[in-house]
Amino acid sequence: MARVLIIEDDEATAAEIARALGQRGFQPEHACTGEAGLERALTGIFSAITLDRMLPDMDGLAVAESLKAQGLDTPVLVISALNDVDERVRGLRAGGDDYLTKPFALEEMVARVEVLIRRRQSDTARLVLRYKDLELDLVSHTARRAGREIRLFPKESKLLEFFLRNPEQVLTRTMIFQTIWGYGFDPGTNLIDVHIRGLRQKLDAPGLPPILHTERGAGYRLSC
Amino acid sequence: MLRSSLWRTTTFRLSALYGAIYLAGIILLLGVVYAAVADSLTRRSELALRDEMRMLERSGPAAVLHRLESESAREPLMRFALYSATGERITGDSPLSPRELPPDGRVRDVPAIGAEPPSQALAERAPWGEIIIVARDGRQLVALRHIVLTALVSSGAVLVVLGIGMGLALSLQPLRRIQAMQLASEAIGGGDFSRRLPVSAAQDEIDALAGIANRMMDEAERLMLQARTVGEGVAHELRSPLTRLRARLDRASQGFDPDDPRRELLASCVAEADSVLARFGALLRIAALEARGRRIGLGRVSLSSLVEQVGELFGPLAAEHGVSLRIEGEPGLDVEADGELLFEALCNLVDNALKFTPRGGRVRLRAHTTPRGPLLEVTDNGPGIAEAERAFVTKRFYRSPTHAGIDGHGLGLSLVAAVADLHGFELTFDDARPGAMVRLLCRA
Repeated sequence: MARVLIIEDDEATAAEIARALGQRGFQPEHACTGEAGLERALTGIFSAITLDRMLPDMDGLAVAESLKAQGLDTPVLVISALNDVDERVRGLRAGGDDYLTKPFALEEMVARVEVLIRRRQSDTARLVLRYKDLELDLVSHTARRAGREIRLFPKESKLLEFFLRNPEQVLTRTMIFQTIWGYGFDPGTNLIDVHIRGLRQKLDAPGLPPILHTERGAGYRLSC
Repeated sequence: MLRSSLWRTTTFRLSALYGAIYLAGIILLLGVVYAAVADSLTRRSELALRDEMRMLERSGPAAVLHRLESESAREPLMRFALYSATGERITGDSPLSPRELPPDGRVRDVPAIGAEPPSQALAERAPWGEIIIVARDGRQLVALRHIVLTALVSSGAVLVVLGIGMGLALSLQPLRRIQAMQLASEAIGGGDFSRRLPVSAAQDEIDALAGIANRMMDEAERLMLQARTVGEGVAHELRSPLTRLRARLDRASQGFDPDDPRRELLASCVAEADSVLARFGALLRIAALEARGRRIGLGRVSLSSLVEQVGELFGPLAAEHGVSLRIEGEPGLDVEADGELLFEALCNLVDNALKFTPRGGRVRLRAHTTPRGPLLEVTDNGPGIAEAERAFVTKRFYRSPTHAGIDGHGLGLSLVAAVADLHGFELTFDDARPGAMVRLLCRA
């Protein structure tokens, strides 16, 4: 069972995060201060860390920097009340692997932690990604479902790659927008929905079960 | 800048007025001095003539001839003439006669006659009937007047140059101070609310005014901060409970069967909460942008690749709406900007255009060069923006009454305006005949 360290000074927030992670099968552990968090994190037993940007004893970003400086490669999700493009960039530069703004939907937080853990485990060097009867060739940007070839636009190919790297995993609209388009603002629901619908139409074929599902109020999931 | 604004400043205009009055005063003074000196010279000359005449008249009819001759030998500047009572010339070295010089006892200026220099002359009938003419060489008088005039004019010129020069030099100092204030005011107007007007140690009236303006700025800054923090505070405080509410509604909806109508009801509540959260998010984002006060991460942004990206992002949405989206990016068009913010602004503009354009319509996003700078232009052939509404569309939560049926929170254009303002870009709304045309004029 994967352990996740929650470095957060607010007890109520920490409890919410812990409960949401627990429901998804993680084993959460809570540290109240940056100092204690650093100490626990350096044991190296955690699969991921959620890190509050503002801690009473030290800046969250200093914790992230310190972790990376000591060679720890545990993925860190920085959680902050500061909603600013610059802040996000600063958070990622300091050694955070992802950035989430308070207040956040718990599903979003859990989805991001899961993607972070999977990213660390996945083999980025592979040139062909597979899930069930679906495969994507990263060199030729062509996909196949049940042997039938599917031509994809570059953006569709990147979108499918993101799903194939995180199969059976809820991916939220903001995560998709940040990963595929590289922008941190809220694009509005409709915009991403249309892109997903386009991809889904190409992947679906008569006689095959739907493979790209909409998780209501949360995002999308690749599963069969 | 100093030279062009010189004429428009009060200080300089006052100095110029002072200069004009000073100049007139000097001219008047010198004129009076000259007139007095010239008058006195003329009077002295007249006096000499009359003295001479009185002496001749006193000598009587018998001795006058002899006297005349001895005087003309004694006074080299004087000329004389003696005419009989009937006007025949008896003797004398002056060519003047009673015909041009009536014997009425008045001193007259006589112009040069032949080799004779100009002179002052006096003719009188002596008590015994003969006419005596006395003339005095005028050249000395003219020369004297000339010397006086030259002296007065040259000293006057020196005085005028000195006076006006000093005036200019004195007015330049306050002018510089006013200019420093102008620069500071412009910076404040440009959004740097921490700037204040310079106050010198002199504590004069300009400093007093600057002090008042600074206190006004302090108060305005305090109020602005207060208004902003109240608005932001409300949005900020409500976001956390709303997020929790949304999470609970969502969890509650999971508890019902997919066919249960209550699940549908709860899902619509979640969607409603999401829309409120999106509004708060947008509001806080605009507030954050405005609070940044022109401090943005600038970099070279290629407008053509930016519009291509927007086109790629919105292409499928446009296709689904049945609207053709055309992208025209002039290659090699770079601006200094925050790429992410500019992208977000463009997305808002294109999103708006797509929203308001009916099926079968056209939306065009164009980046091209104009004489005034690189221009981003979003045109549609939808209903357009009524002229009267153009001033309000960037106000927060403004929604046109004619668009009641269309989704939106009325914050998109406020965000575009905030981004434009941050960059110092110019945002304008026009009529595309038919449709709306939104332009963002960039500085290269």
